[in-house]
Amino acid sequence: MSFATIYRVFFKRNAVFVGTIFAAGFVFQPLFDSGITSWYEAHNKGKLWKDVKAQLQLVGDEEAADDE
Amino acid sequence: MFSQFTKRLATKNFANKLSSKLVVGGVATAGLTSSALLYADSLTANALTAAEHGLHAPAFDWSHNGPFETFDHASIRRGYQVYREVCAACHSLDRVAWRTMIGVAFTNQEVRDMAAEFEYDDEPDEQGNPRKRPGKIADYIQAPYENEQAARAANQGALPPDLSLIVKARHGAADYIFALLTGYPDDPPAGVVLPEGANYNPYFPGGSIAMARVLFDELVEYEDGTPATTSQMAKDVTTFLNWCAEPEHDERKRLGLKTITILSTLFLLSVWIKKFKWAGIKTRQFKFNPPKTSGKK
Amino acid sequence: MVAYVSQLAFKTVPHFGKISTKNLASYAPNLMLWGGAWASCVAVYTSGWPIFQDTFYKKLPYFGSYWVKEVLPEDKQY
Repeated sequence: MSFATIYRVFFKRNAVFVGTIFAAGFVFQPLFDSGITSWYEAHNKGKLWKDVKAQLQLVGDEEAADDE
Repeated sequence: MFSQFTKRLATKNFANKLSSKLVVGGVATAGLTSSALLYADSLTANALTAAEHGLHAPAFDWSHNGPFETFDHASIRRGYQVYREVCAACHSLDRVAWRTMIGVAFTNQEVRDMAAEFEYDDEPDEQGNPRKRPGKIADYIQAPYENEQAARAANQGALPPDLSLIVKARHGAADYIFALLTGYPDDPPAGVVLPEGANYNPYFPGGSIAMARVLFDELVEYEDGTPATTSQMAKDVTTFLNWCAEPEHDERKRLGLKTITILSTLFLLSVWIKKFKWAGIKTRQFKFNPPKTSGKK
Repeated sequence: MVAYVSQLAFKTVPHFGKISTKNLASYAPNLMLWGGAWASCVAVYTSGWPIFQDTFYKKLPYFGSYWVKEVLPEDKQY
């Protein structure tokens, strides 16, 4: 897609331009948040509660306690 | 830097060598005098001396140091065990509710069982007699003493501070707590006179602390098999207390990472746009081509 | 007789203020695009709003799962 096409499709009409910005913002928010969170959790792997829980196998006890 | 400054003074204003020597001599005298005064100051623990403020805690390599590091939640879990078995005999944790530990270091059922072991005041019965009920996860962790007077009476007049915010409340934060817990020498240094019942700890301001050394090797037994050395227990309980003071810690750092990423991207973008917009203006040249004259006059 | 036009005959197109059917029709595509832009603006600023999340965003085909925050029973603080 050449720059001329990009200009014609996204920039020429102000309504499309503004709409593209907001739509991109709406899509960007969850993508960015999920991306940052997955990096953060990978970076801190082993220290997080879900890893500790899995390591100590607490959930199995939990379900057994619920069944009683 | 300072020698350059004196040299410049000497060459510019004080042309003769004598005054330059006077300046250097004056600076040296002032430095030596202040060092001597500070050293003399550190020898006593009187008011407004260095010893009164306590030994400065070293910086420890906490696993949650750094802008992108979360707490070690296994350590928080072990730290609560140390708090419960050791610290909770004297220290309260008034601002921490049972439920806040769920999803952080314990499961829902574990915290329910822990809270149920304590008795809380219930509504009175129909005759107005006070009643008790087992604790619920919405309750706050129960203090060992009813009130401040009871706490002081049981501890020779000293009040064990509430530990909910202790990490934030002390200079040096987690480093100080760890240094204090592990810093009890076997005997106080020669010449230190302590009040009756007091203990010596160089990290405690003034050196005389009512709390004795409480953490000894193998004092608790960890469920995950971690060897319970004094420093391991001190590290775990300090991590737990740091979580108590800053329960928002992990989420705060995650949001900080998001913010820094976005803002630094926008900053670099704005630098690029500035260069882009100014490039033409900064590099333009004005030229004057004088009309060619034919021959001289 | 010859039918002369004695003067210019003015007719008024039905209008409401400056809006008439004719110029409204010519503006319609642009206005629809502005409607879309406005809708995505509202979506950006309501993406953190629970009732909007429940009503709309959780049902989106690919991104929907982002707004579904499932807390495991052993991690519920109640």
